[in-house]
Parts: sequence; structure tokens; C-alpha cells
Amino acid sequence: MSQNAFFFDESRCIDCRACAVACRDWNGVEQPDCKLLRVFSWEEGVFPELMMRTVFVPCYHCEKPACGEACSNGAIIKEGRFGAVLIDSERCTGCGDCKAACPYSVPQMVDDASGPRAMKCTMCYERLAAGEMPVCVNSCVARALDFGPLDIMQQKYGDRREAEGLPSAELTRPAVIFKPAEPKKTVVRYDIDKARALFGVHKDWTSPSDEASRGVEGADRSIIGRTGIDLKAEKDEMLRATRNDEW
Amino acid sequence: MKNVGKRGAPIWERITWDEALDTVASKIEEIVKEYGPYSIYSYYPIDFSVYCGYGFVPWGMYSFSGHQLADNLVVGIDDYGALAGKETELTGTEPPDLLNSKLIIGIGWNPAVTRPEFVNVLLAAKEQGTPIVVIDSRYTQTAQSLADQWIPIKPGTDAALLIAIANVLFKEDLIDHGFVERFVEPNGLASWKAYVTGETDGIDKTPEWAESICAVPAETILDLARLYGAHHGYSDGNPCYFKVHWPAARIVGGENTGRAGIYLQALTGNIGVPGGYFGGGEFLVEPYIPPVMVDFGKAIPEYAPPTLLNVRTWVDSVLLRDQLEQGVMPEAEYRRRLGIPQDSPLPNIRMVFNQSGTELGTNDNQKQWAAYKKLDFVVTRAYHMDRTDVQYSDIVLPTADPFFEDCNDVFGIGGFTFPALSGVGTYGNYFILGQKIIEPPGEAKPLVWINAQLAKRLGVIEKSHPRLTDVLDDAKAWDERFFELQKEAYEAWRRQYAGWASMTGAQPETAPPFDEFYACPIFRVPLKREPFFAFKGQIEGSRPFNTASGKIEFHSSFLCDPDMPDKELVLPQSQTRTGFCYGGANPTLVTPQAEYVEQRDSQFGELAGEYPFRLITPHSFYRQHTSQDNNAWVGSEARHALWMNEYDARQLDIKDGDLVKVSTEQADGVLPAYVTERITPGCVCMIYGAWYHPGAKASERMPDGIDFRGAANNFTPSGHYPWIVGIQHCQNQARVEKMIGGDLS
Repeated sequence: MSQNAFFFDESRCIDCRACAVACRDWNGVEQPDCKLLRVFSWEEGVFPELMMRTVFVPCYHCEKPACGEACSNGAIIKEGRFGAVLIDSERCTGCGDCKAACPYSVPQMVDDASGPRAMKCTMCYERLAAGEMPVCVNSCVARALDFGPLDIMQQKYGDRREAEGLPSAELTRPAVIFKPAEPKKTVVRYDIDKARALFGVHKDWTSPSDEASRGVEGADRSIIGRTGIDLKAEKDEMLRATRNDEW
Repeated sequence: MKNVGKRGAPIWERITWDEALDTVASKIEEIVKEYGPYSIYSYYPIDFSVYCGYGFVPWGMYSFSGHQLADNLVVGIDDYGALAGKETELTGTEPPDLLNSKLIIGIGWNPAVTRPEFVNVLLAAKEQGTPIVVIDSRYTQTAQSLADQWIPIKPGTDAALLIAIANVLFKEDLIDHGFVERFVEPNGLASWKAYVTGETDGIDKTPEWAESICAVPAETILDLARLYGAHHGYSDGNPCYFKVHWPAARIVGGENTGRAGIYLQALTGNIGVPGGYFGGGEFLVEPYIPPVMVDFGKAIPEYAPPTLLNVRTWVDSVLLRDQLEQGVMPEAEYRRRLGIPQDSPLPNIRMVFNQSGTELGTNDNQKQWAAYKKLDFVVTRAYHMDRTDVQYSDIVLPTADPFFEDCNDVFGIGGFTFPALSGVGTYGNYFILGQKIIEPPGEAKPLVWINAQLAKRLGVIEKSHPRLTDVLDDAKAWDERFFELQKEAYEAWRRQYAGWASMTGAQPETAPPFDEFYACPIFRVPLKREPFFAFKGQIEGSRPFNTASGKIEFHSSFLCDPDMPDKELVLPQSQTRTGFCYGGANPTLVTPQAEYVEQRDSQFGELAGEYPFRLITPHSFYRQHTSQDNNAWVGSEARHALWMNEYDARQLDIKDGDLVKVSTEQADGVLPAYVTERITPGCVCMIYGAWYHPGAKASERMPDGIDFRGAANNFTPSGHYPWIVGIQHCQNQARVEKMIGGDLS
């Protein structure tokens, strides 16, 4: 059995979501809260010492797919040609057991004219059969995505099978290789504490105590837009977790 | 569609195409007859108007803003003139030239969003070890993925940082003397050095001086200046790409930022060398392939539209008209305020024919809607009914998006340069056929069809669209005709290309026949090994800069001329008339050299008490100007919200997602907050390009309703005056409050 895999290079990703829009387009998904490909981005650190994190979550077409084991209708198969995990919509009843079992919460539950069912990334099976790449990979302007046989991906990119915020790869052996974002460098000296003090001055509420509160200790992480990844979020919460703020 | 309600509160009634076209044609005739040939405004002149003897051209249609003045005066270039084919100086740098750079510094520069063609080049530059520093008031994806280091700065203070860098370069003698002696006009240089080091005004513009203004620590400025000063492109072949990008200059006083950026690149010998960059406009590069032009058989124009006013002042021309007519405002003053050249007639705008959005290049949009209400007639062609200018129109012509129709004058799209209509711009190294992909939705019609129908009603179609006359009423024949015209254009171009290739050595030597091209409609030639960069001719050859001295000028004699507000800028060496009449006050308040000047609407000015936040309005990842604002696919991937720092949000008891009221002197709005550490404290960000959604509640500033979408151009000022005409303002001072319950006061 052959196994294909995705490669995601976070250090190149510019969080543009071209992959997600291409996925929606190719698969003709109308429902805004049904995402066969979710991109999560969040921030780490306190001004001005920051990192933006991004992770690409299609289906990782695991070597040991938990969704398939959880499906009591036998609707989920792992096909042999590309190693894609696919849902047989004839058999799927939309019970949601697969979504509950998937550590990445990949299956998207929809209930429309065609009835309740689970939908998920197909690895762009038809495109692969026609000799093309998955549409998300082709759409990536920053060339942060790659796709191919797992062993080739491992040779090219190493064997890091998990990314920060994602569950352990030991659970399902996801067919994905990650390259994390790189830490920032110091090209020129930059005194963080001094910078915070320089920015702490604000005309409306300038006072020594305000300036003193400006720092890691004073920051309230709970009021910030996105500070982590929430794979289990659904509906509006899922949209909130997978939208950026660049519109 | 016909508006039977009011402008701004439309009630739409469906009418036939015939009724709509008849009405528009008769309004054109009526208004021109009554008010003369300069009474109809259109952002781009309508193609048939030159056969009807009316119309005018605005100047300043490109929006490099403060950079425009800087480019004109310091290095003597006019990008728009080059785009239109009347100037020959090409000012672009091809992205691969960044691989020749040894250091890359960007200010207000977010190529991940606004210059996607740079993304892979920057990633490659980073991988080959070139240090990349980005200075910006937001931690953008450019700062994250493309840069090695991010240095936050208070928005609008970039000129102070640049001047302090120059201070270090002068004091520590980090100047590329070989370059400066040959290419910089010495008196202006001495004058600016005296300003920077405090000889003129007693203020030594040191890193410590700048630190208190821009919030970049002094030792960081010192390090940056030393690193930069060790990169001399001309004398040492160790070039730096230093990009002071357009937004940094899109503020009141932005001409200072734009000019200081060019001065620095001159001081370090990084202009006109591989891996360098001069700092300003950036599109036009040497053509790889000649453009393919469709021959519509148009007659020679019988009328040459005069250049009347700046593209951003048509609104003021309408609103100030009463004062002119009542004698309250002298004509000379009216001209200066609008940037009307002295030998041009005065406009008397009574009608707007909106071919593309008019809010595109304007600020303080509420003023624009007030002007719309004063007009006799407004017609808009549009793809979307909820676009703002549609809401202020009398008739809307549903127009097919270019994706639904074959491209007209320009054959296709391509390259990373603008496809100029004539002249030198062309396509970069490839073009793609502009093909009809799907049928237009509903009864929408192509722009060319609409114009041809109007031309027919105005009796000029035989001159304006002779090769389309017989297919106007037959959609199938129309499509077939376009295909024939494109095929003919390609074949004519193909013959031209063979000659071009043998002359320039371009590969391939011949282009494929049409049928072969049509099967895969992309034509591409390889990129040149040595990428194009601007001013090579001046630095390696003997061509003078197009300034009075023939050198790079730090001090402008044009701005010192007391008559400058009434004068059109003429480029000294080529004697090219730019059409730019910068106007402004008399004498102008723009200093003859770049200085850091605290403005009324700065964080330190008089507005900051009532409006303490600095509002920035950068471009979106997803909207091309205002298009895509109603794209649901984008809506599921992105949110339009007001960015604010966690510190500021905490003080105001605001958490992410809360609705906030945001106000400037010009507008009031309500939108959700995006609370983040990614924006500097004291700064808020409303990404540009949303369509104004007026709510039920009005305010004094917004009689049609306060904005519930966050349309950034409502919130920015239009106060060119008394400075100078034509500078776009994309920042402002703002007040932000938490919305409590239904309180919309």
C-alpha cells in the first residue's frame, strides 16, 4: 500500500488562506462553517517580542485512521492507491462518531438537502488520479506546501510528524511532515524593556503606574483574539478560531 | 436600475437598457450644452468623449502620494508620465535584483500582502543569508515569515527615524563619498546636513532625539545606521535595498518621509546599482515583450482633453464652487486648492460618470457623498449593487466584470509591471490572454458594449467603435467579433515580435501561431539574468538626472519659488510638462528639503487630546482596493475588525470581539475589536477597502448614518490644503470607546 503525505513549512507560510479558498472552490463547499481545510493562526508573546503561528489542517490521511475505527457503518475506507482516507457518503449517517474520534476534529458535519453526513478532505483524489497535485498545494503562493509519497517527503523534509498545538503523532500516525517557524534573529540590538517604556506613553492615561503595568505580568491574555489553537471548535467558534484579521 | 429615492437612500426601480442608455446619453448632451465641456467627471476619461468634444483629464491618478513629490523633485522622475509613454525614465526594480542585495530594510513595507511577487524572492534572499529588517507599526506576516527582525515604530514618525540614521551617517562618516561627489548636488547636501546635525536650528537630530518621537530605542537606531552605513553599493559593491514604502509617506507631511528615504540611499551610494534601490515609485521596468494591442479602428481624436485638476480634488471643486461663484473665494485660490494649472480652464462638474469607484483615491468620503448630492446627475457602472458609490447614483448600469468579458484595449494581463496602455510599461516577461470565461450574470453587459451604445446615441459610434457597430445587438456575434479581433491582434503582434526578438536577442525567436497559443494562452520569455533596476544610465553612463542640476537634489529650487503654488511642475532636463500643479498655500509650507515636522493631526499635535489613537489603514490581503468586500469565501477565512493593542484594550475594558465606537474628525463607526499584541500601543488599524454600510443612527459628521462596516476612507482626512495638493492621507488621529448596549450616540 502506498501512502502519500502533505508537507507544511510554517516558516514560509504567510497565512494568506489561498489554500483554504482553493479547497472551498474546488470542492464546491457552500456552508461557511464547513471547512475541509482549516488554517489556524494565533499569536505568541507580548509586545514587542512576538511570533505569529500558523498550522495547516486538511485531513492528514493517517496511517492508523481513528475515524475509520470509530465508524460503525463501515463508511470510512483507507484506499490503497494514494493512501487517502475517504468517506462513502452512501453509508454515512452523519452520526459524528468519526469527528469525535479524530484527534484533529477533521470531519465536518453537514446537514443539508442531501441529509446529515460527514464531509472531509479527499486528498483531491480525482486530481491525483489525473496526475495533478492537491489543489491546496498548487494554490500556495509562498510554496509552503508540498505533497508526495511519504518516504520521499521524509527524505526531503525529515520526519517531524507533529506541530505545536497538535496532538501526538503516535495516536494515528498522520501522513504529514511539518517544518516549524524560525525564531527571530537579532540583526541590530533591541532593548525590549526600553521599547515597552517608550511605547507605554499614551496621552489619555499616561501615568507612572500605567507604564509600570506595561509588561509581561500586566498583560491579559484572555482579551486577545487568538492565543492558541482550538481544534475542537465548531460552527461560529470554529470560524472564530480559523479566521485571520487581514480583511 | 434607476434610483427613484434619494442619493444615499436609494429606492431602486428596474428599467430597460434602452431607457437607461437613452437617459444617460441625453443627460450627457444636456449637461455639456448647459455647462460646457468640463462638466462631467470620470476617473478615467470615457473613450467616446474625445469625439464628442468634452471631457478632461485629472492628474495624480497614481497614489504613490508623498513619494510622488519626492520622486519628482529629488531624482526628477514622473512615473505616471512614463506609464503614459511621455517620459522614458523607468523607475522599477525587478524583484530578483534583491538577490544581489547584502542587506534589506523595509519601512511600512508588507510585501506578503501588497507585493506578492516579492515573497519568493525574499524567502530566497533570507535563505541565502541576507539580513532582512522590517520596521512597521504592525507585526505583519512579512515581519513573521519574510523578515529576520521586526522593529516596531510609532506610525507617522518614520521621517524622524530616517533623519536620525542620516545623523549617524554624517557624524561617523559612513557616507559613500565616491557616489556623493559624482551624483549629489553639493549645496543641497550641505544644507540638509546642516539641518540634520542641528547647525541650522540648534537641534541635533541624534538617535536620542528620534527615540522620543518614534519609540525606536536610540541604540537600535545607532546599530541600524552603522550596519546600513557599512553597505555602500557604488564604491564597495555591498548594496542595501532600503524600502521606505508608500504608506509611510501617505500622511500629512509624507513628502518628508519619501524624500528622506531617497536621500539615505544617495548618501550610501545605493541608487542605480545592482541590489540597491532608489526608494520611490517602483513599477516600470525595461520591456521583455512588446504589448499586444487590439485594433478597434478608432478614428483620430478630434479633441484633446485638458488636464484640469488633481484626481483627489474633484470633490472640493464641487463643494467650493459656490464660494467661487459668489466671489467669496478668488479664482487664484480656487485653482491652488484644486491643483488647476494656470493655463487650464476651470472645471464646473455637474455630473459624474463613474466607470470605476471614485472613492478609490479619495479620503474623507463623507465629503464625497456630500458632493454627489450637489450634482445634477450621477451614473455608475458597477458589478455590485452594495458598492457605496452605487448608493449615491441616479442610474446604475450593471456591468460585467472583466472576467466575464474579453479584455478590450489591453489584450491580456501579465508580469509584475503595470500593462501600460502605450509606451514602455508592457507586461513583464509574460502575458495571458484576457478571455471571456463565463456568461455575465443576469442582464449585465460589458463596459465596451455600454460605451458603444452610448456612442451610438451620441452619434459618434462610427468614430469610436467602428468595428463593433454591426454586432451591438447580437451577443453571439459580439463574442465572435472579439475573438476575431484578438486573433488579428495576436497575429499582428506575432510579426512584430519576430523583429523584436532578432533585435533584442529575446528567446524564443518566434511566437507560436494563434491556434497553438490559444490552446494554452500564455506567452512567456525567460527572465533576464541581470534584473532591471532604475537609474543605471545615470550611474554607469552619462545621462543626467532630470533635475535642474542634473544631479540628485536634496534641496528643491522649485519649492523655494514663491510662485510655486501657481506653477505646473516641468521636469528641468527634458522640459516635460508633468501636468502636476501642486498648488497649496502661497508661500508653500512644504519645506524645500526633508524635515521632521510635527503636524496638527499627529500623535503630538493638537488633535491628539480628543483623538488619542493613531489610526492606520493598510491594504488587505483579500480586497483589491474595494473589490471582494462582499466575497463570502473571504468572509469565512478573515474578519474585518479594528486592530488594537492588548494594553490599550485593557485600559478601555475591551476584549476581542467587543463592538467599539471609532471616531475621527471626519467620521463615526462601529465595528468589532481585534485585540492583539501585533500592533503598537497607541495605534489602531482599520484595514482599507470595506464598503460603507450606514446604520439607522446618523451623526453630525455622517448624515446618512454612521458606518457599521469600517470603511477606512470615511475616517481619513482630505486636508491637502494648506500644504500641497494631491497627497493621499491614509492615517489619522482617532478616538476609540467600548460600545455599551445599544448606545450609538
